[in-house]
Amino acid sequence: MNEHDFIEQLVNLMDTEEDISMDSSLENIEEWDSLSYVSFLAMCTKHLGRRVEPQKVREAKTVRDLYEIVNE
Amino acid sequence: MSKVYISIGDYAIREIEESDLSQLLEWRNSPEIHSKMLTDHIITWDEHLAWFKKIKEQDPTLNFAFVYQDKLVGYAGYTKYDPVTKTGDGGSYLAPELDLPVDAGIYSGELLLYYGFETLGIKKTVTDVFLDNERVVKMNKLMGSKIISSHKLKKGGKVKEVVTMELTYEDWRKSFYREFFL
Repeated sequence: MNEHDFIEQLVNLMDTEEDISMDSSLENIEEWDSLSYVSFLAMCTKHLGRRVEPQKVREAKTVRDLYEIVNE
Repeated sequence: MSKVYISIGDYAIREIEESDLSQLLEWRNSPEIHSKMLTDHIITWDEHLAWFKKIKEQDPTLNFAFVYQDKLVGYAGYTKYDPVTKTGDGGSYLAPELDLPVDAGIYSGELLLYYGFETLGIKKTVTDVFLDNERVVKMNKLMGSKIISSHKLKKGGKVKEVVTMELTYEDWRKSFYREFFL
């Protein structure tokens, strides 16, 4: 998944209207909450066919950190 | 030392102490949390104290302080519990101003559900939520809840749609999200 597609998926997943880039800080995105967090874990399982570690997602600071988790 | 009822990782639900009360009331009456509650009423200190005295006498315990790394960060509890029908109506809220980990909301819900289903032995939870509280409705669905009915309620001079959401023990047990956190 390239960066553009990833951001598009993340925006849909969070249902946010904010302008998001790879360097966006997650703590500044209001919709980065428990719902988005669980939805992100579910998306990874569905699209990657593998389970990602919740702890890594929890500790992510930026959109790029999430992207790197997906592309590990 | 406060009694801890259940803990998972850094999160726990413990008994509510008198020293928690002013903070809990401030959060409960904050615009962020009050706007999501079904009632219009702003709770007074005297009402809050009376509630505390009542819950201290409850057996089993139904109301808890939600803590992260031993620090009070919210509330979780059952406002209704029927030991005959084995039904509970639960809810939780987090401190609106604290910068909590992104999973705090999941654990406040999960700890309360775990206590209800595994300790109280309830068979289902039944909770009313404003339909426009979309993120909570979606989160409840992710946790296994289903909408079973809806009705209208007047709040702040406006008529709003309320959905009643039910979560059975069986649906909770097989909720996919639990595999990530337990």
